[in-house]
Amino acid sequence: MLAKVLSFGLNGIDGYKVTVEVDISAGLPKFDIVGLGDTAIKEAKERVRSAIRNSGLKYPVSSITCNLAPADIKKEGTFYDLSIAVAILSASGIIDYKRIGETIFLGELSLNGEVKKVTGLLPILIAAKEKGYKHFIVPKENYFEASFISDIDVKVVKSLDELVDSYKCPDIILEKVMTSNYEALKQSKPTSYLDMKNVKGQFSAKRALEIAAAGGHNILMIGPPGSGKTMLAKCFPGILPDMTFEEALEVTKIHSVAGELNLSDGIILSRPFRTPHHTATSISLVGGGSQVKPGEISLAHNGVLFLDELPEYSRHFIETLRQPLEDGQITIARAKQTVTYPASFILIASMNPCPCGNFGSKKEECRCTPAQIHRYLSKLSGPIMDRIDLHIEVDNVTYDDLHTNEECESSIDIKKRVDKARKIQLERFKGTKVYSNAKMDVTQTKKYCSLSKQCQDILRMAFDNLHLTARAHDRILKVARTIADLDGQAEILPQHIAEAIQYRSLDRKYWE
Amino acid sequence: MISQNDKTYIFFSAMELTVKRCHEIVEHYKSDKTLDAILNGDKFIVDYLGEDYDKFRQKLINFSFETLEKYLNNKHVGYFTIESEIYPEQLKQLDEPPYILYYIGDVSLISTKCLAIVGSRTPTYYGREVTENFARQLVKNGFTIVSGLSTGVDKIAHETALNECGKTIAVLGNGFQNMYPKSNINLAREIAQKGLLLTEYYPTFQARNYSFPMRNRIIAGLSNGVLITEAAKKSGSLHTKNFALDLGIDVFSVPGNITSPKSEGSNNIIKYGHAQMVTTPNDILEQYGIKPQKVEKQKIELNFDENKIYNVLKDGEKSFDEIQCQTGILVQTLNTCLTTMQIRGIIKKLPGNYYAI
Repeated sequence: MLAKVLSFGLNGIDGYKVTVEVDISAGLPKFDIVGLGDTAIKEAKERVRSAIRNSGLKYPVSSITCNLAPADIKKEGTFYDLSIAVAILSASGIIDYKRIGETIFLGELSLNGEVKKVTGLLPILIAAKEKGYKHFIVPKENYFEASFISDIDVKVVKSLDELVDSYKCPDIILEKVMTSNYEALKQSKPTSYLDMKNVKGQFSAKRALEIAAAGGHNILMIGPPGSGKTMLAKCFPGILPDMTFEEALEVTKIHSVAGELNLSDGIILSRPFRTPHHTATSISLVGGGSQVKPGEISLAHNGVLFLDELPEYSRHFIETLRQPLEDGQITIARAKQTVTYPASFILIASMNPCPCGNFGSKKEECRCTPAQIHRYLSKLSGPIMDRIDLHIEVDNVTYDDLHTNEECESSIDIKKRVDKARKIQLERFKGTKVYSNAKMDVTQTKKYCSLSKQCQDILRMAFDNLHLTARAHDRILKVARTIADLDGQAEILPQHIAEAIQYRSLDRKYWE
Repeated sequence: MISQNDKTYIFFSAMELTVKRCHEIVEHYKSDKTLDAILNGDKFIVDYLGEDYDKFRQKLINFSFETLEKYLNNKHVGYFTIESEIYPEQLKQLDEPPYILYYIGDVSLISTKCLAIVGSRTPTYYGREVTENFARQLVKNGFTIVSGLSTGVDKIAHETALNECGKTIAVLGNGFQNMYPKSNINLAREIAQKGLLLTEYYPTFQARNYSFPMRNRIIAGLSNGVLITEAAKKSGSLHTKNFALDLGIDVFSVPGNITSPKSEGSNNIIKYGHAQMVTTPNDILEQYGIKPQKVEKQKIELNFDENKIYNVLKDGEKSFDEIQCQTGILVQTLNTCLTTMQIRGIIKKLPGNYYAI
């Protein structure tokens, strides 16, 4: 007897249809799975056999062959377990083959017949919906993850015998997934970031972060140890605009594939904030491995990637950031497959001004030689510096600052201004792929950042008197555009240019 | 052609013979007979050099003065020895006067009115300012600035002198082929063209940790006075001060903040009476009976906010936060003002987000 059951496979965050074919024929009892499965799929044999037996069902004592078609694509993961089991049961006549139809089965089986959660469900559902499939049976544990896709029929199942029963007697109906509302869920679960009002002093750094949030600019904070760089960075997601549902879905897709999704929410509600340690391997950061998994930079998609102590990261890793910073995605090519993951994030980096950390500090003496400082700073190559729009210096906070009772501005107030500036930008870039000032290309920069005579004079004088390097030019224009947006001005005014120049510390020559 | 006398000194410098030993040998044979004595294995020199004698003799047999002469001519390197007429009298008064000096550039500068400016290799902003200010005024009043082509104060002193179209002498702790530090190579080139590079070391000599204190004695020996702008407690510039005191020339020191470890050395030498305290370049000029040139003060026009910032910064350098708190100006406006004031040259930005007038 032959049975065909549909399932889905994943390549990166794109799904493709997999047909699970099972043929039961007379012969010595055996069970083979063909179709380029990985170890997890080879082991599915044991899980499926035990699950069927322990569910009180008859496991056919015959020669069983299972094929995962298309047979030339390498398949990974445990979510084929359920479809293999269903295929065997229908091939052996326990489930009525006709009633299965176009339903897609996803789920991992445990030895006692329970259906366990799977990773990567959301991207599969989205891909399958696009390809016109409407009926799904998924593990109960993945209920919420499945609940954000409308117009499809998803049923959840807890165990194999529940599934078999639902086919046998019409009284038993599997639980259907109700669509949840993203906005409502977000309202009910307010996210808690560190609030900017807890950061005392650091006015210039806060202002720079506000600009970074408003324009999507990457930012580098330079300061001695203990000056609050990390704390400032942790406050940053709180002033970013809320994610739209589409953005949230994209983020959730990546986290789902990586198995990092909180299943009780089923969707990522707040912008990701990823802080990989500098000892992490470059594979774990950019993605890859034998099963090409998304790395930290993809998990930071639509959110923030915070690299603390930037020069401590391997040079190799810092350089791999170049493509994602430019294109907003990372393509990982391996011999067997090539996967593209989205990786559009705001980079926040922090570093000390020199190896001992005290260069320019008024409290401690810097003991580094100029050559050491030069070597330290030269770890950051020009191309990377080119992609960071804002560099600011963060100085130590004084005791008085810490004990002041003066209320600082809260994140919510800053966020309001950021939201306003973002709105202006969305309006400006309507119909293009760009959605923030930071991502403007050369022609757009020319178009939207035209300067009046007065502004040009300031910029020229700044270049002459403050020894700015040439690469600062476009960065200053983009940042000035964002500052003007925050100000609600259509034109870039002299004060906007002047402020933007303040955020180019590393271009200054005193840094030697 | 290199004279026989000069050959002796050149050979000794190539062998890195110490000043003391060189003078003892030359005193015994006189400089024109020394090389012959080495070749012939005279008893005094064999005994004097001991184990090293064979090395010296072998080296001397292979030594080609023609090749060296070609090299010196190609690279425009000159030299003069302790027997030369142009050798400055004051240098001879040192305990260990260098027996040979190689130079590139305008050698006549050694007979001009020289003042040494030395100090920390990693000066604070204050040290930089002071060095620049003093060097500028001294150059404008006709002094040649002598320093050691090191980083920090040395570099600033040389650069300021060149920027003001003045004269400067750099005394090196290395041979001309092995410039140190490498970051100052461009500066060295410029000094070679517009000033004078001077070293007692053979061109292939590589800088050692002892060669820097040694060159300090030459810096003192060439100068009419030594100015220390900023020095930590154990700064190398204090060596220069000691040599200057031995020579009996003026030592000036600029006082610094007593809480700053970077000023400990320069403050100490004032405290112990080793140096004369100077607070303006005019103090030095007066010492040499020079009437300072008058400098016109520029009037600065400031708007309301800028005036507030200016008044706050009058008390000394301040961080961004301090300025913001004391003036109460909005952060974005303050950023704007600070940039425009920087562009106009009214204030300066310092590392660590600090600002100063």
